[in-house]
Amino acid sequence: MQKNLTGVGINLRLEYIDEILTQLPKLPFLEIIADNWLSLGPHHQKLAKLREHYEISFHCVGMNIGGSDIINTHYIKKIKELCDTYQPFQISDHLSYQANNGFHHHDLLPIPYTKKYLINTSDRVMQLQDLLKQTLIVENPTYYTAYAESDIAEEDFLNQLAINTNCKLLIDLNNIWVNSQNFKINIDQYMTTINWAMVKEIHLAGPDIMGEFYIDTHGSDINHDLFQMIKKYQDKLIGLPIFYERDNNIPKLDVMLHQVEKVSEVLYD
Amino acid sequence: MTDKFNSLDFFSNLVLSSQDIDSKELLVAGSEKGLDIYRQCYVHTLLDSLKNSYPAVLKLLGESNFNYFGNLYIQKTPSLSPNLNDYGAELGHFLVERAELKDISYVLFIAQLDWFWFHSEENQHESIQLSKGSLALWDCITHDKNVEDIVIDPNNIENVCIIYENDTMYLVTKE
Repeated sequence: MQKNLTGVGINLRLEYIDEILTQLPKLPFLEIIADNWLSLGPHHQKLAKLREHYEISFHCVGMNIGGSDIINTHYIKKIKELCDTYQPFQISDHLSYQANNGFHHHDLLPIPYTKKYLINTSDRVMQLQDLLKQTLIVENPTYYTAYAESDIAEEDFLNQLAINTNCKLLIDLNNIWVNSQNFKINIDQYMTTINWAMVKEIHLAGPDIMGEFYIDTHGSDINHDLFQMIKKYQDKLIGLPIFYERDNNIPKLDVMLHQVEKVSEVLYD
Repeated sequence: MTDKFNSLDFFSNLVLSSQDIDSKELLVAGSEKGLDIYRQCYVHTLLDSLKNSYPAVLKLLGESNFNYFGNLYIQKTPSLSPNLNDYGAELGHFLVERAELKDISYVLFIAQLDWFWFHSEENQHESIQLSKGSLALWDCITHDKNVEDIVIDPNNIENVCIIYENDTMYLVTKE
């Protein structure tokens, strides 16, 4: 079920769920990591309650979109059941692989950007969309190594993937910024090459620096550079659902809501 | 391993292996420095998951020992499910076979109770059989109570199951 919703929301961590249920802060939507709801438990009753007040989107980390193992139909069936229960307005996962030869990394491993992997990823997105019976949204990842064989720019790979499969795109501005810091990719070239007609969601987050790498920890506030990007590409972002993600160094809910306010001020004022 | 996607196999193996494997044909020169980020993330994620599933074992062993044995377990035991909550089912058996822990072999029962409780929603109609006294010990460790008077009797078995009362779940022994 895809709806055209706009505004700035947050990813819903379990730490916030009771407070959000009590306060019902003014947010247009929430995003949940669907993988965190695969197991049974009382948290499901709370999500059902939240669903009465908020639209939600599903973000996944286990579809193995870029992998070569056969699609895990048991996992996809579980995700589909969650979709049927909670009716998210859209569902996404990453341009990466998370499992190989049956071993699960629980991380977003990079894939080579070549024609061979584009064909493979396109085939898998088509299969996933068939199984889920809905459009999949694919997110640009961060990466900390680079394959020697890659010969397609990530933005071109994503654009072609969308053409091949009619999937949609999720653009994470922080991921682009992190990759630009670690691998000197050109942000403006990326942002002007992406086919914005296919983009259906935006992610924002803050990184941390470890050694010589910026890491996409979702562990800090949105940095100055990212606010500059938001301002510069305001016209592309303004009609899209935007989520601020935080998974580490978890602040109080007020801090999350303040980040949402700051983004809204830059975007909509 | 398939030839068709050998880069994925190669990279996955690089992350899972702690050995120094030559990656210069796979990765752009210099970028192999980023491999450690993936390796650390893998161990960190699985170790966090074990701590989440085994809170009483964590208390019993202490953080430092848990990290040590957890790391050994992770090296030996890959994750075979996309659901992190499924990871670590055999930790108790792994721990009880460690020579360093031979004096606290009841760590097996504590681990089995942690796992049973962690998956209580799925285990509502199940029971487990442990040496008598195991649940009392687990309860004391879990709630930071004195364990001095607890006796584990390996010659007698207790059945532990889950009951639901007033919307709350409990572990109890049953005859």
